Amino acid sequence: MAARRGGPGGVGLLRKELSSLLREPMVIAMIVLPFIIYASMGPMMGGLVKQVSSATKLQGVRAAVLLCGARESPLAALLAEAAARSLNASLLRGCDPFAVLQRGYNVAVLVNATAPVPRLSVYVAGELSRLMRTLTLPEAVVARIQHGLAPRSHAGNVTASLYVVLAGKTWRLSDLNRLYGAATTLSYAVLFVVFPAASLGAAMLGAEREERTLEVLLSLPLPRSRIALAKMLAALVAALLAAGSAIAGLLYMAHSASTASSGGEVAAAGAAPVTDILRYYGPGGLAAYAAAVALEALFAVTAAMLIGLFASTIRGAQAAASVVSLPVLLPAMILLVGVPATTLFALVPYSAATLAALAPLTGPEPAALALAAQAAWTLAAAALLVRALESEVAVTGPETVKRLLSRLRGRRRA
Amino acid sequence: MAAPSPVLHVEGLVKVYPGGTRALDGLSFTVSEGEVYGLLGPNGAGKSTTFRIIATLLKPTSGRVVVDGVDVAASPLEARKRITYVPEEVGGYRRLTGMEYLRFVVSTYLRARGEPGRIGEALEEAVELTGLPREVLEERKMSDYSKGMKRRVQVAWALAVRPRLAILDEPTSGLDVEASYELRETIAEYARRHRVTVLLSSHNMLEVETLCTRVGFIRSGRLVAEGAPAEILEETGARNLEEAYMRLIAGSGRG
Ligand SMILES: Nc1ncnc2c1ncn2[C@@H]1O[C@H](COP(=O)(O)OP(=O)(O)O)[C@@H](O)[C@H]1O
Ligand SMILES: [Mg+2]
Repeated sequence: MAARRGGPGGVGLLRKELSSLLREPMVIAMIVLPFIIYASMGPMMGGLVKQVSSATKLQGVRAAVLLCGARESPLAALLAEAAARSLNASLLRGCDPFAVLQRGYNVAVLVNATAPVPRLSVYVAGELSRLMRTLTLPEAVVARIQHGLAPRSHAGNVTASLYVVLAGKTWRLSDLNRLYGAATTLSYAVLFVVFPAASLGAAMLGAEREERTLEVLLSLPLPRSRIALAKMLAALVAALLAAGSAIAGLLYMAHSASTASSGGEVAAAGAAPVTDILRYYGPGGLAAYAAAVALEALFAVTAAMLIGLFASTIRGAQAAASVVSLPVLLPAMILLVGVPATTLFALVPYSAATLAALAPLTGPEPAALALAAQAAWTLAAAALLVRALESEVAVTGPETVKRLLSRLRGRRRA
Repeated sequence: MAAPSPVLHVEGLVKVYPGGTRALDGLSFTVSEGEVYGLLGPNGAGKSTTFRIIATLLKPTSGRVVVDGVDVAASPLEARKRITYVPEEVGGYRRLTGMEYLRFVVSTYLRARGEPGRIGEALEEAVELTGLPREVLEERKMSDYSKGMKRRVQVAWALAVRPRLAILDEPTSGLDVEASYELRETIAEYARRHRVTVLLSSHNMLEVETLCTRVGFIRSGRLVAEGAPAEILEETGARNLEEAYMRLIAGSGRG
């Protein structure tokens, strides 16, 4: 009764493939890391939802309704009273919403009676650290006023202009939304560079090791810094080409979408229109963004090469590269919630492109700080790489890791 | 006749790997100009470790290596201008042709040495030394090369640039009889003709007997005997090097 265990040959093969994959420490890291990254987003997503719901419920809103030139229009006075009632706001006389906001109110509704038809203008004091709330609040305010005016009708009869005052600048809400879209797009576009950069960087030394050329290369009369630099630049060029191809493809996609939807609704394509980006950033802003992207990519290449030094195979090295590249998601996702108020954020690797993308909102200082910090990180990684190549780690790295792991395993068994 | 100047001087070399393996334990030997010096010893004796230290890939725990008057640990770049190194595990860039590879290493080496004028000539010599048809070198990627072909390419450039010291770690291991015979002849002939000093390791006693002017027996990271093949035979009273090896190394137990 010899029951055949293991089944057909394919199962043995699958088991062999899985065993060799799952025994690779770097592959384990590649499997575990995304969970940690995304799970750590949990509180952030919670914060996001909280921001939107608190804005919809007008929680924490101190509103003032300003009646400007109302003596000529009783209709305006009625409108202002109704608005103040529905917002639970103070009714003030005056025409300067900014002065009101400066007095500690975070919403100022201006009822302008000088025009033939009374017009509402809603000014919201925005918060960079709570961008979602900031972007949701103006419409929530209008909705509440409309509801107060005609509780049972859905069709609002009040038109309003919506403004957000942010870091000393006044934005039309529609402009701010478009800028936010452009900034998010730019912030995510970095992934197209950093992912291939890390993967290529890891393969630069992984390939030398796998093709058994590393020892000869390191024994040539070349300064190790030259070897590091040549590899960094080669990987960067390839990564930028990969990113260029991705971005060109996306732009083409956006273009196709915009020609298909006659109104020019491009947002569906997920890429902010080029005109928006050009309008909000200008050549200087774009140059800063490009510098940030290049520095982040170079950082990814270098850090991946450093990690790749300890992997014995290209596969291991590339899996390890995900450790280096996945954190680039964090700033882009943090942006969903808002710009952290602390300057510490600017010092974190990979925050440069995001902050450069936000420069029209925040002013150039955070981006400049982040750019300098990213340059410092990149230099530090490069210096570390050169040091590692100059030391014997370049030759013994994987062997040392292997022996260390087998000794750990031995101890666990004992 | 003046004593030939030492090209390589290894003194009290100790290497303890991270993890504690003591691969070298006070190794000393000297190789003079024009010599072909063979390091013999069992697997794990420390031959490759020695070569990697000389080639500046590893740092010794203690001891000193001087190549052509240059302290290897103090001035690794200067040392690398004087040596070429063919590791035990030969390789080659998969996507490059043999010719592209030769061009890269030969020009890199000679440019660093300040002899860019010799590149063309050395390249020609390297091509000849490989013994491979030119169209194979020009047209086929190294991923297509057999282990023997890769080894020939590596040994060829390592000799053709005429370094002060060429280090060849088991240059004929894994090759068939014919290939290793040809490679051995190439090395012997070239070293003799151009007085290139060679340091190699081998497990093939016949090879060592025909190729080396002097041999050192290494066990557990220490030199246990040294001399010209004929001297070794005389001292041990063995009929051939294999017998001498068995008496010197295998007989006294492994490290
Ligand atoms: N990277 C390394 N890490 C730890 N020990 C090593 C490493 N490389 C070699 N060794 C050990 O050092 C000793 C000498 O090895 P090696 O120099 O390769 O000997 P040989 O070339 O004579 O066969 C062996 O015991 C080997 O296991
Ligand atoms: Mg060896």
